[in-house]
Amino acid sequence: MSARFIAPVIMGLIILVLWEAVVRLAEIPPYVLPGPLVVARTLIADWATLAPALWVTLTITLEALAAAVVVGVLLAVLFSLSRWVELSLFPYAIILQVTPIVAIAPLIIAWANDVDLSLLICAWLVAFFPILSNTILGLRSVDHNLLALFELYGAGRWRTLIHLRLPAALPYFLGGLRISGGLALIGAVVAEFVAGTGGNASGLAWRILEAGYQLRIPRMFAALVLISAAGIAIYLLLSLLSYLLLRRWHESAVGPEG
Amino acid sequence: MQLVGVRGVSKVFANGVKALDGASLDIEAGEFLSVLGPSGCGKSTLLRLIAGLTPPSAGTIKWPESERTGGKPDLGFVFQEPTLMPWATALANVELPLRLRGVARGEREARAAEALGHVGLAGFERSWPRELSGGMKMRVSIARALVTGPKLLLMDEPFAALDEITRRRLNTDLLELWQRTRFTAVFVTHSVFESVFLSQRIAVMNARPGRVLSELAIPAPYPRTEAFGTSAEYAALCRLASAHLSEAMMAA
Repeated sequence: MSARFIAPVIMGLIILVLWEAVVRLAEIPPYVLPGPLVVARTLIADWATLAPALWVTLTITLEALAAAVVVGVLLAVLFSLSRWVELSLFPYAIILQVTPIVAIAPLIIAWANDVDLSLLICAWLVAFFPILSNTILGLRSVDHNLLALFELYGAGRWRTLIHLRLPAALPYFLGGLRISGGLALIGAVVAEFVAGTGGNASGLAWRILEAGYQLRIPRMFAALVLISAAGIAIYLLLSLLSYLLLRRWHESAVGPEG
Repeated sequence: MQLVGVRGVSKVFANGVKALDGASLDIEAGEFLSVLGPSGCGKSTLLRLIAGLTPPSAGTIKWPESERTGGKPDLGFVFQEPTLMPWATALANVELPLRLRGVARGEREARAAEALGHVGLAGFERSWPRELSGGMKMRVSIARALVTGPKLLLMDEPFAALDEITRRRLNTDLLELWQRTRFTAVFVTHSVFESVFLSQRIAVMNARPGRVLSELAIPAPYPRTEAFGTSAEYAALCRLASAHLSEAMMAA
């Protein structure tokens, strides 16, 4: 808690103070670069507009992450059970992963014919691969002697999966989940940009576009702050989940003093 | 009475390596047998063949009694590493074979706790593997192998990675456990001293491709204690076993 927490906080404060000082001393107008105090004031003043937008973006992010977990884990299990399924499907999972989401988002939006659904699909596409590839790695990283032991006691594929492969894959899955949490948010924001939806149910990305058109740069910064804060919160929550699940047994969650 | 009969067993791996070439070995019910040989002589492969984890390329492995009763041979296996599940407590690790056989939870826990008691780990039921020392982890591994009450316990250099003092204690405790429970023990080792201290009989293997070259009886009575380990008789038997091993290494 000590240096790990204090050092970045002090660093952040120094940067904010410098930023504010530069903006004031050089008399930079707020529509070019607003100082942190102006951004903070805008965040409070525009909260009524920004909060629903944050909620929209967070909802899509979390739904996409949940879908990524379900599909990623199910596919990984399927791949681990059948070599043929893996050989035939895995290349396509990689193609989905390497295709830039901005390039296929218009297609998805045109096909899905529903803005929320298309945003969800885009965010899911970005988020599911780390979960899939990490879980596959984990399901395979089983001690071969433990596998021999399960074979010795006549455990079938199914019980080997439940009692051995899935627990062994848990740390890998959680590592993938932490990456996917951030990616789901990025996917949701990028898709919103591409979709460019208006109306009441629009997210933070739309608020940024809108503020840009209207040259309300402080509001743009306020929306950016909210996106970053959401990303950090997601990462911290997933790290906490990981710690709680692994602290008893996995080296990654056990302190150096044991 | 013969428990397992290994006849002319060969094993060639997919990569072309010939690990065993016509190995034969009789395992008598209730005995403590050591398999002694240099590294890479196919000792581990022989154990895995007996356990049925891999089929022989040639030759037969017979379990006369299982063939009469038609049941699956009941055996426990201890690897060179403790091979525990790090996400499970000591008790849950020992419970594993019973759980995989569908034994009800209450009975499972009781039997696992009893097995932990037999290896001197009463009170460590709720400990996690990472909290245990190397020797204690190996004790959990032995408890897990014995929890089903198997006829045969196969051990693949189980104490090789442990320090000398821990190894001595485990050797003594293993013998005591064997005398009390009377399972048949097959103990693979590359240590002359360990094989002489533990066993009634030593099968000496030569290097790759492995074969059982000679057998040697260790007639000293049990219980064998520290006193046996320092006796002139022990020293003479070690010299004898050593000569057998040198001969086996020359034959390679």
